[in-house]
This record gives sequence, structure tokens and C-alpha cells, in this order.
Amino acid sequence: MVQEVETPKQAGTTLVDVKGLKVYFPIKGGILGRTVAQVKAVDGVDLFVRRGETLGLVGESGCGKSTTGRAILQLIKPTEGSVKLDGVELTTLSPNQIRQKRAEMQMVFQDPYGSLDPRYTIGQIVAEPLENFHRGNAKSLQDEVAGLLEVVGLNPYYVNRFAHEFSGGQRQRIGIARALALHPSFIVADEPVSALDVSIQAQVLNLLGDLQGKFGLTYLFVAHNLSVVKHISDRVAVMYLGRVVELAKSETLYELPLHPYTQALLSAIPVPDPEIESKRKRIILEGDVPSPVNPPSGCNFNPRCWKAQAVCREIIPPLEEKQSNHYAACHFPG
Amino acid sequence: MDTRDRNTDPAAQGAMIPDGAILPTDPILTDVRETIPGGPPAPGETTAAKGTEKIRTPFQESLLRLWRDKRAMVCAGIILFFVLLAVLGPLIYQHVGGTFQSSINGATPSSVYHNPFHQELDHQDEFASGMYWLGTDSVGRDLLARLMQGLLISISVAVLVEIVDIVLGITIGVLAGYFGGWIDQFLARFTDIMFAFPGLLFVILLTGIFGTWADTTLGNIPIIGPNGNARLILVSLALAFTAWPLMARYVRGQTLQLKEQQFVEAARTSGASSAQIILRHIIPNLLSIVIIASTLNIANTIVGEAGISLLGLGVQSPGSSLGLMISDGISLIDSHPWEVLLPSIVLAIIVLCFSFLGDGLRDAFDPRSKD
Amino acid sequence: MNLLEVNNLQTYFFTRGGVVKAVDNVSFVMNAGETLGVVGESGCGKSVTALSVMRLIANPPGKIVGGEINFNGENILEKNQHELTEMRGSKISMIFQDPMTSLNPVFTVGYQIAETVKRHRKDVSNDQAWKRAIEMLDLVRISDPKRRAKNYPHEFSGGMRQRVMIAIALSCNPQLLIADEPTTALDVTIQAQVLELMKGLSREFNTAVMLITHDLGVVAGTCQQVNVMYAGHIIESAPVKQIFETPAHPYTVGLLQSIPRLHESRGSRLTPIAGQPPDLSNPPVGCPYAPRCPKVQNRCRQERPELMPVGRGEQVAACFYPN
Repeated sequence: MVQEVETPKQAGTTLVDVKGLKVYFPIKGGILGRTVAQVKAVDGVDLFVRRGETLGLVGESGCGKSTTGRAILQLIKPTEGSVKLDGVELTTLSPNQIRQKRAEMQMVFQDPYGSLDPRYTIGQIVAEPLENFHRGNAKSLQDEVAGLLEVVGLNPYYVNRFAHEFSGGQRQRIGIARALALHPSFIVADEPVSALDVSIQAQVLNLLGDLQGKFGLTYLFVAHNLSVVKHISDRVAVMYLGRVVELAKSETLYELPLHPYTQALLSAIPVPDPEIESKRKRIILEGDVPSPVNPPSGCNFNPRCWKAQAVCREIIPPLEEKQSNHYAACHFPG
Repeated sequence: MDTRDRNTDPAAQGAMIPDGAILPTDPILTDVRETIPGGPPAPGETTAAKGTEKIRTPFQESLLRLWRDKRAMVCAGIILFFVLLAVLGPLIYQHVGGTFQSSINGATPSSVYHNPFHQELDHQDEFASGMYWLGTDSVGRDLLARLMQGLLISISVAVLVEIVDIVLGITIGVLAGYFGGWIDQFLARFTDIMFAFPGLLFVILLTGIFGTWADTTLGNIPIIGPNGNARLILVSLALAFTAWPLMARYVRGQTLQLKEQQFVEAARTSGASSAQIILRHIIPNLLSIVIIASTLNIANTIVGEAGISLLGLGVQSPGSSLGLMISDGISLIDSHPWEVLLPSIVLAIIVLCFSFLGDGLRDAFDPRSKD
Repeated sequence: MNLLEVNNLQTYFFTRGGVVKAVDNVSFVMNAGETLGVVGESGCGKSVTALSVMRLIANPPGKIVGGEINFNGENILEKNQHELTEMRGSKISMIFQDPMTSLNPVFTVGYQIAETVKRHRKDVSNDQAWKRAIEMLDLVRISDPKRRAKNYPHEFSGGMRQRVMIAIALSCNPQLLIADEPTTALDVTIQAQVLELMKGLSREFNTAVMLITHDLGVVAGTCQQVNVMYAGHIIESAPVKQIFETPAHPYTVGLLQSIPRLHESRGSRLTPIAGQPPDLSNPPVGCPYAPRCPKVQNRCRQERPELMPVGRGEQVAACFYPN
């Protein structure tokens, strides 16, 4: 189990505490629609996010990172496990209570095109959360919305325009303005820049960083691009097939990855530098990611791991602190 | 994972917000500059409320596309013409032509002999003349008047049916699609049964069984009741009954798709309740498919009503319906062909127009379906 | 003689909103066996360039309005449909971005490879074509190729489907392979596999590769020569080392500065490029990058710079004031 460790530099309290999170999706089959198998999207995840910090959650497709983010926000109901926001257990709340809690936890979505309703102006889109919680009358809402648009770098002049008139990067800013509307303390950013062009990614990443400083936000940054995640996160958790396999500070993760999967992941990332590229020793993994319906026994990375031994097939390695503040789920780390 | 900035598809470039949308001197984004002139007023100038003009919604864009579709617009024009003919025609026709001396009824003003129910037995099966613009039928009734009455019936039935169709279809379709569960099961089984039945057969059954009951009880409802139109309500209800499952299916399908969109998830994250999500996000985005489906269904309804009346189960004499006129005129097809041709051609035109209009609507609201 | 020579290619799209100049006066060459990276963000014209070479531009609304494309000395723009069909798949092949939809779901993978072989080599029997299909599957390192040739596309994962695409593309030993964002939709570890494969095969069969991508890291690891495109033009072209070490055009510089690097320390601000790419139906007069360029001068807004040498060997850039 991951323990909360206060580092001298950031004595922030824990805002989000996740223990033993599991999200299983049933697969129905047969005439009677019985559950014949389960997709183990999230299979026992522990993590915590301190107030004011950014925890990066990284992994490839199918690893369960998006599902984890949604399960924390209770957009997907966890099958098992505990999620505490500021000390309050979320998994046992009624739907109405969760709705109330939404004001404290928000999300920035991946798809700049699908996340904004095409029938509404951006002013209406940003105002919707405020209307849902009855935060003010028509006049004060107008001012509030204008303020939010400015904060994300959009000119309030365009408040009555429709979403389709904006570019991808601008649309993501609108989504961020919407997420900020209720002044949440915690924001899950689910691949917020993956659908954007490279030069626009930089704009939006800078914006997210600045907003964090300005409003004291806490982020869970979910993405598959390790360079992006490393840049914006204080700590990074690497996921593979539903479990966290490594958790450490950003620099430490890059400099000294302990888990073989992290090592393979880092070695696979193309670096924009031909010198380095020509000299690197690449770890090329064999085969494909196994299906989350039928994960391998024991450590779920063992079929592709070059270090695998018998114990790896039998015992699931727990996520333990292997070095100071550096956790890994591996029998043979390093 | 593969979505790049889709808005830069070369064939889809349009008026994009210039980057004057990014504030020139925003304290947060000091590295982003104002670029293209002609954007919003410079800082310092008062924006007041002037800068907030509306641009077209996607819905309005679709309407514009429809406007440009010549075939659809011509058809819409013809439909409009028929509607005006049916509604205003009789009022005008009443006053056209002078009083004429009928051998049977004496002095008969135009308001009488141009009435669709008035029988002028001296002038049976006449061809078009100054007095009777389209001629008369076998009991001396003015064909033009009967045509207009028949059109009115067809259109009234179509409108009534569509209202029920839309209301029931959307309600049940959205609930089935959004919540699933037993509503969805009910809808699925119900539509299966309805689809297994030939639609017209079902309507015939209903009108056959409840026909006389409708005549007696519903016949007392003013305006629509008398003149054999009581059946109309029955026919309308029967047609609506068979039509709504298809609409509900369409709506359910679209709801299922919309439910998965990220903007719905975003609404939930923003604290919207299910009711709010359905009313605010799902139903407005359904409008296009509902418009298209109901327009096409109108064509079916008109044919359905005509068919029922032709079989004698719908509007009864002395009432008029296009179907009834056709059935009356068939026996005279050798001697007085116009009596059957007139209603047939009008029926064909109006149905074709609704079909083409529906097609045009589909192209306008869902241009991708063209490929 | 160059394998591929593109001179002043112009591909425009005629839409209701205006004429979109997707590719506007593009010229470059490729040599046999060389890997050329075509880099740029969305809307820069890199895909349209590739589709123009293959003559796959949908008409309407697109049309190649000018220039010439010489492949092995023959102008592709003058070929008729019959010649083009023969060329595609056997002399020039293309693979696309989305492996999920590029394969026909109702035919087995082996059939699809064999079909390509049989289309171009009329003298080959069904059996021989099937054997070649199995050979190709083995070449792209799909294990148990004999059995897997009888599988359908849905039985393969994304990375494997992309490898099948490569197998189809290389089955007739083309001289040029155009790969349009072949690994963008794949996970990073799978991307590494596929790129390794492409590099190896290109070397083994001396196949020239035009690799279109937005990922500069991919370019650094696989290409020898790089063209950087912006708003329908090539704004810089150089050997790969020079592009990264001494980028000349401000856009290239800006691009390199805006990417988060694994090696950099955390917390440093990224330097984004201000603004947005121009509207291609109404491109600005002068240099297309002028509205966003930090070094813009008056001349840039009035005159359009052509590709010119910057004094470092073969490196050329379309800029009056390059680095």
C-alpha cells in the first residue's frame, strides 16, 4: 500500500486519496445475458494527490488511466475501492450528494470537438455549470463568464459565437474555462492536449500551469505522451493493464526507472535529436498488450518482461517503496 | 488518439476566429500575441454590448443549405400551394361565379353550388366549365371543391398523425435510449410486433372494428364530427399508432449515440441532472433526425389515409377524401376519366413533393449521408 | 536521375468558401533508398502532397492545377488511369494512418496481400501469390504467418494491422513507399516496433520512404532528409542533423522550442508559437509565416521568399532572415 509521505519541500495535505480502486466491466453473453467475463479495466490502484500538485498518470491504450480518472470523479461507478476527496469518501455517497460534490471536482476532456455541444454558444457552455448550481442571476453570470473567458486567454467579445467557429486549441481553452467555473479544488485533465497540434499543445500546457499557480488547483493529468506528462507533473504514476507499476517524482522516474515496463516505455519514445536517436539502445518489447479480459497471472507484465522469473507468474508484486519516495510494483526492480 | 486539428481539412476552411481572439495583453499569456487585424476592438475602446453579434447556429446553417437546394424548395413551394389551396381555396371559391338558375333548386348562389357537399343532380359528370372549374362528379358535386376538401382532410390527418408521432416517438425513444432498462425492452418488443404486422392491415383492422363506434360517439364532436369525418379521428389515431414505433427507434438510436458524446459527459460533470441533460443536450440535437423522419412519414400517412378511404373504411360520403374520390371515379374511368385522374395526380404530386422535401432535408441536415 | 522529382506542384481545392491552396508551389527530390521526412502540423499540406504523388486527390473538389511529378523520369501527371493503376501498389505504395479502417474487414489478411500480388504480376498463380503473402507476413514479423494469413483483420491488434499494411505495400517491391502518419494512432511501444521494422525493410530492399508525420522525434530517428512544410509550402529542407542542430527557418525553430523534451528539467516554460496557421483560402501576401514570426520584417510581409541556401551545405530555407 502506498503511504502518505510528507516531503519537506511540499508540505501539502492530501486532497485525493485512492485505495484499492477496481473497475470491472461485465461482458454479457448467452441468451439470458449472464456475465461471462469481465474487463478488468482498473485492477487495484492506489494513489494520492497532494493539494496544489500535479500527478501525472501515464500509460498506453488499454492501461486503464482514463477509466481511473473517471472513476475517481465518480463518472464511472467503481466496482471496489475507496476514493476520498478532502477526507470525504465519495464511493458511498448517493447520486444527489455526488452531484453536489461536483462543484469541487471537475474534468477537462480530450476531444475539443466532441466536448462542446454544437448547439450552444461558448457563453452558454461556460455558464452551464453555474446555472446548474444556481450561482447567480443573469447579469452576474454574464460577468462571471466574461471573467472566465479572459482567464483562459479568450477575448470575451466572442462570447456569443458557436463552438464550431473556434480552432482546436481555442476549444480546449473553452473547456478549461468551463471546468474552472465552479472554482473546483481538483481537476482531472484527460488527455487535454493529445488532439492538438504540437505548437498549440505548448500554449495549452502553459495555460494549465499558470492556472494552477493562480488558483491553487490540484491536477490529475492523464496522458499517453510521457514527455508532456513529465513536463507538467510533479510526480508521475505509470499504469500497465489496470495497475500502477511505478510512482515517483518526475525527474527520478526519467533518470532512474525501476520497473522494466517504464524502462521500455522511456526507451521507445522518439527523441527529437538525431545524435541521441542513432546512439540509443532501444528496448523493443515483443508482442502486444494482452487483453484486460484475461490478464496474465501474477505480475501482468511478465509475458513481455525480459527479467521474468517463476515468482513473477505466481505473485502479484505490490506497489512498494523501493527507494525514497519512489514506488515500484516489481520483484526485480532496477 | 489520431485526431489532429480537423478544422484544417482543406475542403472545409471557413471563417475561423482569428487569433485576435487571444487577448493581446493578457497577464497570463504574455507569450501569445494579437495577430490579425479586423478582430475585436482594441483594448481601450469600449466594447459595450455591441461586440456580441450572433453568428449562425449549425441549425441555421442547415436551413441555409436547404434554401439552396432547388428541388427541395420547389417541392416545398408546391406543398405550400396545396396547403393554401386547401385552407383558403374554399373561402375564395365560395364567392366566385354568380347565382345560377338550377332547374331543381331554383336560384343557387355560388356559395352553395361550390360547396363540396351540394349535389346538383342536373349537372352530373360534367367536364370542366366556367361554372364548375374542374367539372362535377356522378352526383353533381363540384370536383374542385371536393378536391380542396380532400386535400384539407389529407393535410389535417397528416398533421394530427405527426404530432402524435413526434410526441410519443421522442418521449419513448429518448427514455428508452437514455435509461435503457424496461422502457427499452418494452419499446423493442413493441416495435418488433408492429413491424411484424403490415401497417395498412393494422389500420384496416382498427378502423373496421371501431368504425361504427367512432361514427356514433365521435360524430358528435363539432366541426370534424359531422359529414362523415368522425372516422378521420379514428384513422388518424390508427395511423399514428403504427407510425410512432419507427420514430421512437430513430430517436432511440440517435440518443444512444448522443449519450456517449463527451459534451454529455461534460454536462454530467458540471452537475446537470439526467432531466437537464435530456432537455438541454439530447433533445435539441435530435431535431434534425425528427424533422427528416416526420417529413418522410407524412408522405406515408397521406397514402395511408387515401388508401383507407379508398377501401371505404375512412372518410365516408358525403365527406371527401382523395382516396374516396379515386374510388368513386374508378368505375367511370372509361367515360369520364378526369374524375379519377384529378385526385390521383394530386395525390401523386403531393406525396412526391413530401418525399423529395424529406430527401432535401436529409441532405441539408446531414450532408455526410450524401456520399 | 532522381527517383522522384516534384517541381512546382500546385494542388488546390475548389470549395464554396473559396479556393483553398492546399499545396502551393512545392518542389523537392528524392533519391533511391532514401528516407525523406515530411514534417508539419495539420493543414500544412503534407498529406495532400503525398496524395498528389499518388494521384489520389478527389476531384471535385480538389485538382492538381500545376507543376510536374517525375517518377523515374516519367511525369505522373500525364499518365492515364490504366498506367496509374499499374503504378500504384507496384512502383509506388502508400500506407495510411488508421490501421483500423485501412483493411477490408471481410477478406482474410492473406487474401488481401495475395490480391495485390496478383493484380500486378499477371504471371503468378494463386498458389504462388498465397506463398508470397505468407512470406510477406513473416517479413513483417508476424509470428505463425501460415496460420495468421487465414485470419481476418479484426483478429489483429492495431500494431499488427499496420504491419499487415506494410506487407501489402511492400509485396510487389515498390521503389517508393509513402507512409502517411503510419504510427500516429499507435501506442509508443508499438510505434517503436513498427518504425524499427520500416527502417530495416527499407534498408534491406533499398526502398525509398516518404514518411509524413508531425512528430519530430520520429523524424529524428528514421529519416535522412527532412522537408518542413507550412501553409502549403516547403519552408525548410535539409539533412536531418542540420534541421535539428541548426534550424534555419523561424518556424522550425519555433516548432523545436515548443516540444516538451524528456531530457529537460521540469518546470521550464514551453515556448509556444503564437497564433494560428493562416486560412488557406485567403493566404496572406508575402511569407505565410509572417503573422506569427518573431523576427518578421517589412520585406517579409510584402514578398514571398523562395527556398534558398543558407550557407550550410544542402540546407535551404524560405526565409529572408534565416538563422
